[in-house]
Amino acid sequence: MEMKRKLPKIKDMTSEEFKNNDYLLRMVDKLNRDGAGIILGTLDELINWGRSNSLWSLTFGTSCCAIEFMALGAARYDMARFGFVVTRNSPRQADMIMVLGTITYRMAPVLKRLYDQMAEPKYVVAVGGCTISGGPFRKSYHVVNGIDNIVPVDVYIPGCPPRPEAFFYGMMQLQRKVKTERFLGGRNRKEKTNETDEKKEA
Amino acid sequence: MTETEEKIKQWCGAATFEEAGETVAVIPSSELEAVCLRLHEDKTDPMDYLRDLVAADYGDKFSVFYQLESSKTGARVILRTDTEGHDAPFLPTVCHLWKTAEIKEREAYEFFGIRFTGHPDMRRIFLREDWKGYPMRKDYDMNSNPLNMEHEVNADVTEEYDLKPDGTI
Repeated sequence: MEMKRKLPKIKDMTSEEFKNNDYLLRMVDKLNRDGAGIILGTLDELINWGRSNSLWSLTFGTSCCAIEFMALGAARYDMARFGFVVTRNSPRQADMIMVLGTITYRMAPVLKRLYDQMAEPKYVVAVGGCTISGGPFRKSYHVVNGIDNIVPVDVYIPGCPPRPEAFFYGMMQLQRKVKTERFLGGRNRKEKTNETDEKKEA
Repeated sequence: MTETEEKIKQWCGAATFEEAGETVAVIPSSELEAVCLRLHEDKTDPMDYLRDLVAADYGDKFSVFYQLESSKTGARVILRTDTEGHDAPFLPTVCHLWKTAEIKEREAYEFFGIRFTGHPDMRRIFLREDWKGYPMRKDYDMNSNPLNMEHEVNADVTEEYDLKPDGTI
């Protein structure tokens, strides 16, 4: 007797719904070409492009998300083509820390210590449900409910564990975040500095 | 009843048997060491593999389940021991028979507070060194150990409890 297999209906995202934060890059590009900072702007672009395409992370795989990370480094989903070729073992040599896996109360001071030992500019990527909010172990007596209680996080990658494609989406978001930075500094003219405030009061 | 269970009944008259999925032999804690030694040295099915040692909290007493297996013949048996009462529970150790019991008894101590007399290294294994309380007990307060960002001081010298059987250190 043949049974008809009912394939599940997976609802796809339409292209308009897929939020990629591409607009940031286009915005910065437009500003630079319109003269927002010709020399420093182009230099910024160049440096940030170089930086974003070679973000080396600190090896910090605690739990199951680290296995997904290993799958990411393997041949099928290759992360070397993005630039995350190696993971550095010393925090002083790493650009960013990818927190993969559950952080327990015992590990929390260690994570903070490693984060403090990294040199600026540094980024933190929280991968997986456990680092975002405690995940499936939220009610436990020993699990930190979200590492943003301990370190400031740049990108969150949800999932348990996230698919490698989701990993890449998160990493590309981080790349965009790096590309839109003003690496060579510059004054934020809208922000009131203490100097002008004091002058006004005087 | 399997052969092993009949042998246990012969050696220790006070053993009773319960059904909890598999047959569990309940042995009073005073006779535990003798029964374990005999099972370990048995001629037909020497129980040389302690598969697991788990503890449970039954409200008014703690129980420890020993799951033994013989690697030569494949015979299995499950033993259960109860402590008397809820405060200051003590049980004899089986580390001299099965080395894996060292780690498992440390786990039972850490989560339930059951002390094993004669254990060479009775200290916490999974939780932080400055953890207070025993998490798996029914009356544990879940908020009693908030996130402590101070590094734990790793004790260089750990106290080695070597308790005499009547409970004094």
